[in-house]
Amino acid sequence: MKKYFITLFIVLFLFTGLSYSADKSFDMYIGANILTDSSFTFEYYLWGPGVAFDFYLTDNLTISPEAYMYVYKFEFNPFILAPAVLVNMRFNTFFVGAGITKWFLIGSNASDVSSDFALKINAGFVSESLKLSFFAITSFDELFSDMALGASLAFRF
Amino acid sequence: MSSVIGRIDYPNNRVFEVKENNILNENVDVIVNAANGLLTHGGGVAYAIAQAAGDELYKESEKYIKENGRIPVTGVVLTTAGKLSFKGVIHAVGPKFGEGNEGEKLFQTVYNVLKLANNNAFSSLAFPAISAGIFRVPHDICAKAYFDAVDKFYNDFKYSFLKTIKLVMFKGKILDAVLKEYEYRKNKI
Repeated sequence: MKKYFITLFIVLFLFTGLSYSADKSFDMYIGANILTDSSFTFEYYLWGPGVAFDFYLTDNLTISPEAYMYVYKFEFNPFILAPAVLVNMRFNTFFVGAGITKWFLIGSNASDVSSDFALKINAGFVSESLKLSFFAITSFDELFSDMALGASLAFRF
Repeated sequence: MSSVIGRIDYPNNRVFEVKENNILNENVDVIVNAANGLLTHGGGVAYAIAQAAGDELYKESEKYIKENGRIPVTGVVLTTAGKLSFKGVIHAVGPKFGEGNEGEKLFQTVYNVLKLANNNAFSSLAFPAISAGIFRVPHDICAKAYFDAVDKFYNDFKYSFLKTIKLVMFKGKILDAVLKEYEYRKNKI
């Protein structure tokens, strides 16, 4: 399953890269996000700041790398660094897309400090100055049965 | 697929096994659910167990939370098993990433599970990888906590009712970490 998604992602990336025809090159966002488990009780949550980019492959297709830092409540050590790469389709102010993410545990003395690649799907709204997105992260092994759900609000720079 | 891939024998005919299997297919008195503090059974092992057990388990979980409030991390609760053939399900709330002292909390969670099973005179128990979901504690910390808890339980209760403890999971990184810990301990014996 993982290989399938990665292959699909690479093919999509290459295909859209070849058909590059966007009017502008990229946008950069700085923002924060919060995520919790699929019980959606916020009994447990992580939050943190991050940076995201939208590189325009066409006027309505972007490749969107991002890197967020997650902490549990106000415990800053250890923390998770969560880079991701998504491909998003734009429909006016609405966007939807999917990609992959991998989490790295920073500041822990554990020897096992990185997660498997996970699927990240997102959808949201973008305006001149803001980008609001809602997302789900799920492992490829337990697709959609074990999920993290979150939201992010970012400002364009 | 069901196979024993690790086994440690303890005095008085007691055993700890590591198995690759679906926990729902184990032939034991009681199974453990890797639950959250509100027993919502929303994903992973919790969802699979709750779905198989049916409405009775959901209703009993809801009733417990209404009457007692949220279960704290390391807390354990015994319910009936609904449509499943087990004598009960023990819901265990393990820590998640970032809470601090995750290894110690996970050890305590598993130890509490074993004590609860023993207090209820269950003779066999199967538990899944607890705290190994999407917000997982690092796998090597998980593996050490599982083995430490079983070891301490069997040493603290030398004539326990509980004589068979199985750690049951599917193939994956957590199983690899558990096997690494198993090999380390086997070589130490």
